[in-house]
Amino acid sequence: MLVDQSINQSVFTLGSNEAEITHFPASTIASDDRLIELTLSGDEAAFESLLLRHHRRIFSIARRFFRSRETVEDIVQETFSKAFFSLSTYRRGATFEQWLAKIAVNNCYDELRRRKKRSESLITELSTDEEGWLQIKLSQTAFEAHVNEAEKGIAAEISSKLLSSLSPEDRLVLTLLHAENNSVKEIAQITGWSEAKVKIRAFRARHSMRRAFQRLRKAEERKLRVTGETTR
Amino acid sequence: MSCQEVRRLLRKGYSHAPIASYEIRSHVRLCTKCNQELIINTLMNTLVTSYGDANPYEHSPWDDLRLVNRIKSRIQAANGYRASSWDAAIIGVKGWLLAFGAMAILLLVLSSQFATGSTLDQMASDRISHNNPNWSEELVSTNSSPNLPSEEDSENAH
Repeated sequence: MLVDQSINQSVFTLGSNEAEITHFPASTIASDDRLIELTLSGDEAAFESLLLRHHRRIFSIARRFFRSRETVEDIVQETFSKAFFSLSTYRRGATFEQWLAKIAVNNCYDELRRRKKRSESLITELSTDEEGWLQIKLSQTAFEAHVNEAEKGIAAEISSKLLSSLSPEDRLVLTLLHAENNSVKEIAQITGWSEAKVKIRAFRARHSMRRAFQRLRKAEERKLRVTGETTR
Repeated sequence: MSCQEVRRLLRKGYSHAPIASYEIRSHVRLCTKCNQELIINTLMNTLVTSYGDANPYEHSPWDDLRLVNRIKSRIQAANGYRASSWDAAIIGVKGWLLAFGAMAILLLVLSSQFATGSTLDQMASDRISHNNPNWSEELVSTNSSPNLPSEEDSENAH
């Protein structure tokens, strides 16, 4: 059922920037649907409660796509701002967090596309540490590749170099599949693509990433060969 | 399971499906090339996951407060923008509305003037015909046969 009340923006005036966070008492923890109803009727505190309840999830989604704190915060702000203005289109009964996540993923996708348009990112070379780490990982026979705390920085750096070479669509699908652990069906719901398209995209994305990985490694081998020849 | 089958499953991302996973594991124990493929495949997935894992943010209540404030001001700004864009639209349309209004008034005036003029003409002609009731009769020829010359015409000819 659609929330029949249309959003009354003039009521939600947000008079002061110095907001006081008003939490609902623990005994009267309201459901998301109730808070949405209150927000639609102009209750500022209800929207704050929704925001504080779900912002961590939105942060975690944005961080899967961007590493700069400013960009991540911008995505979170944009997500809640868009959610506020389209709250009247939210269908009661659906999970509010999923609805928010969908907005967040779409924001991330838009930002990826904007960045891709601005500059064509080129694969940069691996550092010695990164190449060493890759060598170790590739020589291991373990079925799962574990990344410990100390290795996280190196892995993230290599990952950044690889992912920046992918198209926004490929990156979106891979991140949602592997980092967010979404199923093909869930990705289709989030992106609005058909399941077949998601599968094809995922296949192509894996292929592209693999090629980027090979290019990166070949470049590294070439570099090592050149340095070897010069030292000789 | 053949090497081809293993690689197909890896490319399609089915390496984590329970049955496929078991069969792939059994195969890669014996096949070095497929084992390498599997390692690269696993590494790729790990790399995608580890992108956001580095430098996790430490959340504090101040961050929450700051976030709430920023979102509020963003909503406020968006509200202001929406209102101003609505005002701008009205101002933009206002000029056209005024022009259309002026045009409509002008057309009305012109049409009413035209209508008044034609009514006056009608009234004048009515008045003339009323003052001279035989006027219309004078215009009617006495010649009953249109093809033959009238008596007046034949006299003038002579």
